[in-house]
Amino acid sequence: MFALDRHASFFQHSLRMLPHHYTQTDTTRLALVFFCVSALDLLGYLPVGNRQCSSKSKITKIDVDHWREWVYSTCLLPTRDAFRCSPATAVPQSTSSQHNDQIDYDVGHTAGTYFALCTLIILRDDLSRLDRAGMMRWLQKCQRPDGSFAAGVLQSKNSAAGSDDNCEQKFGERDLRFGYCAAATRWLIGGDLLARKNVVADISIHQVFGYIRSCISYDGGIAMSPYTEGHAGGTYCGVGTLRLLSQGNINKVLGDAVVGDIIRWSIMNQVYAEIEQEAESEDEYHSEPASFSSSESPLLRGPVVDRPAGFSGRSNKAPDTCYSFWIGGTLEMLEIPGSLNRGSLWLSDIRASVMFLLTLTQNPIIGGFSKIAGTHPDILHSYLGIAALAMCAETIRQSGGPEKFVKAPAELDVVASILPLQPLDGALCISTSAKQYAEELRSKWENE
Amino acid sequence: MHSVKRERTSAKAREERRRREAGKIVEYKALVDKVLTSRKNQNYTPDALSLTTTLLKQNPEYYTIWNYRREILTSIFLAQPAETIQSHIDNELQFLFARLMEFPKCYWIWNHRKWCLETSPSPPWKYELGLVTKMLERDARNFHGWHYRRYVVQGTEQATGKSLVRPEFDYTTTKIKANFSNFSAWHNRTKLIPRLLKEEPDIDARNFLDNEVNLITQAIYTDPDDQSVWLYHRWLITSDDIVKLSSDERKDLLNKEIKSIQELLDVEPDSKWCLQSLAFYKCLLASLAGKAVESSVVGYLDKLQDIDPMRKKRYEDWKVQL
Repeated sequence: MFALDRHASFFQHSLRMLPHHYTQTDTTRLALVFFCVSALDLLGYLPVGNRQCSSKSKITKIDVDHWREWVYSTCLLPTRDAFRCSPATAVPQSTSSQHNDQIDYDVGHTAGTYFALCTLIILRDDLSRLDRAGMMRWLQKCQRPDGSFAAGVLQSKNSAAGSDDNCEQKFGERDLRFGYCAAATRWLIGGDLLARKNVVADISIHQVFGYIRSCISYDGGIAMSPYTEGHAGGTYCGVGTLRLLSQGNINKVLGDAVVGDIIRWSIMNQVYAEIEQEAESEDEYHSEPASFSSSESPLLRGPVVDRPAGFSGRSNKAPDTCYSFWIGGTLEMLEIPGSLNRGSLWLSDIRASVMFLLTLTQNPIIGGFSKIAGTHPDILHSYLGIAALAMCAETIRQSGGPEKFVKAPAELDVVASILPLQPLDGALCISTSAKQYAEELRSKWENE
Repeated sequence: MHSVKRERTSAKAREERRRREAGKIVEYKALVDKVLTSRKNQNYTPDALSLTTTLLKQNPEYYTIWNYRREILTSIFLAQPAETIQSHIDNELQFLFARLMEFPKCYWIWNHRKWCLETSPSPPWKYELGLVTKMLERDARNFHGWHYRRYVVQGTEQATGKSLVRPEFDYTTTKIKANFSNFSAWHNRTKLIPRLLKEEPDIDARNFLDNEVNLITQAIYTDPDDQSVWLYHRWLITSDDIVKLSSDERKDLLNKEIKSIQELLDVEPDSKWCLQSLAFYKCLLASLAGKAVESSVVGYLDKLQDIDPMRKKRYEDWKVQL
């Protein structure tokens, strides 16, 4: 059964304090805040918007205000045109006039900005404290000539005064993730509307499309960067970027054949869980074995076709909780030409996917979800597990109910237990009600 | 009464844990403050370097500190002879090696390593290739490793003026012969082949393709359940990046492969990859020839719904699209 209240507890505790092995995630603290706040939103625990909040929730308006103010006070830059990804990069500069060429590292971060905006939208902030036009100008600076986006831009202190572009340096990895964050940011702040009104120039959309196309891999998936393997995270970011920039006209940008390939690749990455899955060397955060005994699903001992089946991130890899979201989200965003059904998530085996998450990687004692069975739950996998289940719940509702997704009557309650989850928007990875609020803001800005 | 006692103990244990964690947080924050103050005070001395070493050991993801470390090293290197610089760089590379063992996926560690090579008076490209080969042996799917390998190969080529495409291609052959299931090796091959054919124009491209098809067929017959070999086969048969085939040549190739896969299917009637590939290639053949899809394809899709029920809906959808 989906342990809804346990999960709510897990996220609330995480917002208060995290154990020391989260030290390495300190530089993306805002991501963790977003995951917790958005999870609580999907679980129905946030007193925001018009919906009824769960009667079990003890979260108050004071908490909501506190979280919102924390984002603003620790992560919004003084220029109000970008957010940091964490208070950790608010590094002090030398005030001595001797070394004017010291680089200012306290700059905006594209991923941090995405996480901040989503969190604020979920908390129903109207973003009026932001310099939205300034944010668009900053985003433009983050775009590289090849169409990809950087994490941010650095410049040295003395160049700022003369705004000498030659002293600017884009930093961060070169892959699809920051393009996704930039596309989402642009939509959330109504940047496209500002560009349409000629208040600011737009980012180069044509070049973004070009970069994404260059990442399409021969295996059908989209890679994180050119030359690498098709990857579920890269595919989600690529498709999500296209969705956010092209008003959903993905087939027009990529062509039907490529879209068909992506759907095929995604579906083929649903794989049955094995009985004994060893933690691969990937799991550097959780080298100690879990202190609880993992809920070994009796389904694993039955016939193969009844087993739980999660999603893997690349060909020939083992399933991992988060890929239920990266692939599920990709499928949710892609339409099959001529099909009456919404999206293409319904092509996957929803029952097997739900069973994978609920019986293998869910932690019903502590709350949260782990990457694979038998390891500790962490915030990222917990949030993405819930986001994936929220999309499954919506598909189940649209298909007429959980009865269609069980193989035995005993499974009905289990599958139905995810239905209280709020529906999720696949492209933005926030609840549809939060997205609706964002649309109201955009409407307001359009009419200004 | 028992439950009350248990509750108190677990609350006490939780408080104890919270206090321990809070202590660690205080310690970590104090170290961070020290390092950041050091930078604020323009401290670029070896002492500052040690401070960053301590912090980076705890948190290699704190990229600002790597930036500060590079500032310190740059300052130390000013007006120093090449041997001194090289000796510092060698120490850095050792330090990074230890970090990589603990955090093989941390982008900033790989990034600092690149900076070391670019700053080094004589970059040890041969050693780096050996290192990345070892890392890929530990984890053949680590794409940081493959990324870095491409970087080292490029660096070596620039330093020596000689192309490494042939030895790299041979490296993937070795990896594949050791284990047909090495997806990353097959993947790398798809990137190397077009380059190889361009750089060695006396290779008969058509002959090369036929040899590759033979190789992949061996792999398929050895392990027909492995997804990676079928994906590679599909690329070989359909790609224009290897050799430009005329429409007739392409149709001939498809027919030949369809026959080959059919033979395997006769031996392994429940092979889902055989059935999927046959369905796909027959559809492709039909569209090239401008004809209707063969009726056998419907049979394959029906069978697939039986043996691969997870993807039942996908096969149903495929039938509808025929």
